[in-house]
Amino acid sequence: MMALHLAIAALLFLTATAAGKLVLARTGFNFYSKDEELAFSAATGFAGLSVFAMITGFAGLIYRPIFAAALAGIIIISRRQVLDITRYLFSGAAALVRNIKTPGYSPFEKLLAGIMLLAALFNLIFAYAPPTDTDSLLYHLGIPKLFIDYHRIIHLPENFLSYMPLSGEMIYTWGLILGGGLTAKLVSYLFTIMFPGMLLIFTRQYFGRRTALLAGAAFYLSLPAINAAGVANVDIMYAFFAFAAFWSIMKWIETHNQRWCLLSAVMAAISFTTKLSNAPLIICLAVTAILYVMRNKMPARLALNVILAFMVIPALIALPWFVRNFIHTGNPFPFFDIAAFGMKLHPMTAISGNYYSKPVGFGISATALSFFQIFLGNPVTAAGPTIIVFALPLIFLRNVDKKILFIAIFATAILATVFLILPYDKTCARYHFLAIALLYIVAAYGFERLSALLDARRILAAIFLAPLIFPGLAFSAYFGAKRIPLLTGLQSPGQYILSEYEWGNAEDLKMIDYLNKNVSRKSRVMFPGYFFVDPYYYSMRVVVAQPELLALSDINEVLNRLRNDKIDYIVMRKYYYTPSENGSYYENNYSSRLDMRWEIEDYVPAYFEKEHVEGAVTLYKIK
Amino acid sequence: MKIPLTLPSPRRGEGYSLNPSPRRGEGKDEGEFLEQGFFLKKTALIILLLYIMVVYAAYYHNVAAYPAVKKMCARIAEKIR
Repeated sequence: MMALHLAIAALLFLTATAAGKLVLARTGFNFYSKDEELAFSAATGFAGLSVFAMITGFAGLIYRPIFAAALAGIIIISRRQVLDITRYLFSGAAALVRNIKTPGYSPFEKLLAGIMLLAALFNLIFAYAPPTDTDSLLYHLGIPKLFIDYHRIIHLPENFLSYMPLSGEMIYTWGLILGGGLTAKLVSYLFTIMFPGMLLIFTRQYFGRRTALLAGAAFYLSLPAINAAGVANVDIMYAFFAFAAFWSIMKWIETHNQRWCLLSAVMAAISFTTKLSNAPLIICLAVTAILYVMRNKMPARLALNVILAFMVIPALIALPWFVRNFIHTGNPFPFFDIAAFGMKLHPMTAISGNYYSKPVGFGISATALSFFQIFLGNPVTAAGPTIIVFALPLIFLRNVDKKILFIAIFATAILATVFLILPYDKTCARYHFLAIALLYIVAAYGFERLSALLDARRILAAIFLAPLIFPGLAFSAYFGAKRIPLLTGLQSPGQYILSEYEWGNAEDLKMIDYLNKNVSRKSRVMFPGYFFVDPYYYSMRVVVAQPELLALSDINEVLNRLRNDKIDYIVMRKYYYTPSENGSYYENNYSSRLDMRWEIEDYVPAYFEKEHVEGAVTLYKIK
Repeated sequence: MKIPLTLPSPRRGEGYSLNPSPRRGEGKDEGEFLEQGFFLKKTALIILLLYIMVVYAAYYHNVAAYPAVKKMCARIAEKIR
């Protein structure tokens, strides 16, 4: 079965790359190498697949035959490119095996390549498991799953995260509709191969093979990258498109060909609409291009073109999502905790924002300390020590390569800006994937310079390798090994989900099972108590109870509201609530704005029927 | 046109033969210079290694606090005991 899911994911990759190659060739792009062409083709192709899914979604055409026909159509149109890429990849793999045997690669390079391959294998086992992590279930896979169920991009007021632009989720839609959740997870896994692959190709082209292997291995074996391989998040996707945007602007600087500037804007737009926190990328790219135009005294018209490209293209790609929000809520950005011009804020935005926000303070020491947490903090979310150890000392060296300086300044600008604008989780390295990948190139260059300067190649190589092997490779092996029983059939998917599910306990899972077997798919089930409910494993529509409904105290108003919202069932999870001191309402464990003013048990059997109980989880049917 | 800042060095066996430059390791001045360079490099390396030690200690302190690692360390400690 794994082969089938992997084959569908690989076919998606091949089709996207072939389509991208065709488009780039027809629009007159020239490349330095075939590898470079492959990297840009994959980015262009996946951008196209994302936009296609968005258009079909808004048109109400999310049907498997349409997606399958589109895939077949692309393969037929770009059949030459498909054959060419397949041949190239196979011959490239064969050449790589041949080259490894020849003395061309040093033992250190072989070691770097070897640990990357090992990690890729462990990560594959890690990825080939049903989704159980919070973010994928809640929205990266949960939302496209609902779109597929309804065959269109529907309004999901119960989940304010659905108001974000969803370019990454649109790529998962392809995986979900053609092969299901496991295929979507393998699409994510392929992105975690493609992104370091792009990093390798870029670095090899500008700084040589050894630096490329160092940078690629350092990124691929960093724990946030390993973690990204096993879950279907969108971080590695936005980083992939963001890196393509950065590379395009470098190509524009080299060639002065306006096409590269446009491609950079398209890639930045897809990256931005995959993850909004990546907005500073667009500004940094535009500023870089404008500074270049000014420094080289190029015509002012060029600067204007750059500004237009970086304003119009991202706006066009993001516009459908924001217009949709405006139509449904009167606010194009209901997920932001700002209510300018009288625009209505989604009730859950402020609550969850207050709950999750952990201000780090604005003092210099507090900011600096939390900034270093991006590299040295919680190992699963931190980038690791390599950048601090090998990139920072370059400040004391003379004659640093100009391209490295440019990369370092660009990466630092992005890192600092994203760090400042993030409302919470500022130190989470996955929010800084682009900057971190670029800084790994700087670190790899720093390693080379320092080892040559200090005649300490062996000792510094051991220091460079240490975090790559532990925790890097060790954690990859650990995450993979944990899933071997599932892969070999010793553990059933149900048992696996029970052990890893992040959205509740065994009782919740039993309730999901009961609902899927006994409640109609057309029903709506409401869950009071938290900001979100995981829609992925339910066959019917599940919604979270909004604060204004929970705050009602008159049962008739409650019933009217439930009828208006077409709610058929309520699932009460007692662990979210404790009775208030005077016993008149339930206190929520997370936010007082989720306190429940109506005691559901008081209205059984008059208005509600207790249908099923699983420990602390009770299902009520609304009469 | 580029103006050379230094005189071209004589070819092997030509000119300055009356005043040959000392071979590596021979002349006192160059030896001192090499020694100085060696110490500079070693001092820089030691400073770098100390810096790396501090950074790695901060990182691995957090790695050791990760639940799976903590559990593994506890198991190893138990076996050693």
